[in-house]
Amino acid sequence: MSDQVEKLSSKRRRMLVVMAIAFIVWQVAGLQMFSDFAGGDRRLTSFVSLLAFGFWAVTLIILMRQRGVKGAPPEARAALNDELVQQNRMRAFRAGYWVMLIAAAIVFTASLFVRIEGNVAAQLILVAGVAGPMLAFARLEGRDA
Amino acid sequence: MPDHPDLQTALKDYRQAAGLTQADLAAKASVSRKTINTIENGVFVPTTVLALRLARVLNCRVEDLFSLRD
Repeated sequence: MSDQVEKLSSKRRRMLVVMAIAFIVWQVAGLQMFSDFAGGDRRLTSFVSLLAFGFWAVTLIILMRQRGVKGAPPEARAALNDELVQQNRMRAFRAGYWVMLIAAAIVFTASLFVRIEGNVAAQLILVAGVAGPMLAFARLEGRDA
Repeated sequence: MPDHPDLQTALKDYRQAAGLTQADLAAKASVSRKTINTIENGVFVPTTVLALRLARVLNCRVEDLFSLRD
């Protein structure tokens, strides 16, 4: 059972990383501001954003349908959500809070030099708040693996 | 880095005395092997419920498994 738990845990970790990266790319590449900065074709950044959205949607559906543990025995499911995992989840949310604060500070500082719309600022802070805990959880779960 | 540097654990000794691997103990306590590993290394401090469950599996008292440094 232990091997199965470790495989499923590793799979969940990898999926979270893919999901977080896809979410960041989807959100950031979709910004008009990003296209302006990149100086590239708006159609290209839109395509990248759409592709990332596709990745994100697929990983979200897989995670929601299987919850990463489809077909696993009850003992394995319990082990995949044991006390260490719950603690890591809480720590990841705490890390997400700090990531959001830092993102807000960066956006605020940048707004002194570059014009940043309010909705863009909010979007960037939300992206940091969503992706931060996911990446932090994946890192914590990978520790001592 | 340990959550509670004052806490010391004898879980590894009791587990080995019982002839169990980390994976065996993890399966009996319905946790992951990583959880057992982090408890043994002092990185993770289990709740009272899990400590009691581990003590039950290893047929000893919680105080045998966990104690405070002098």
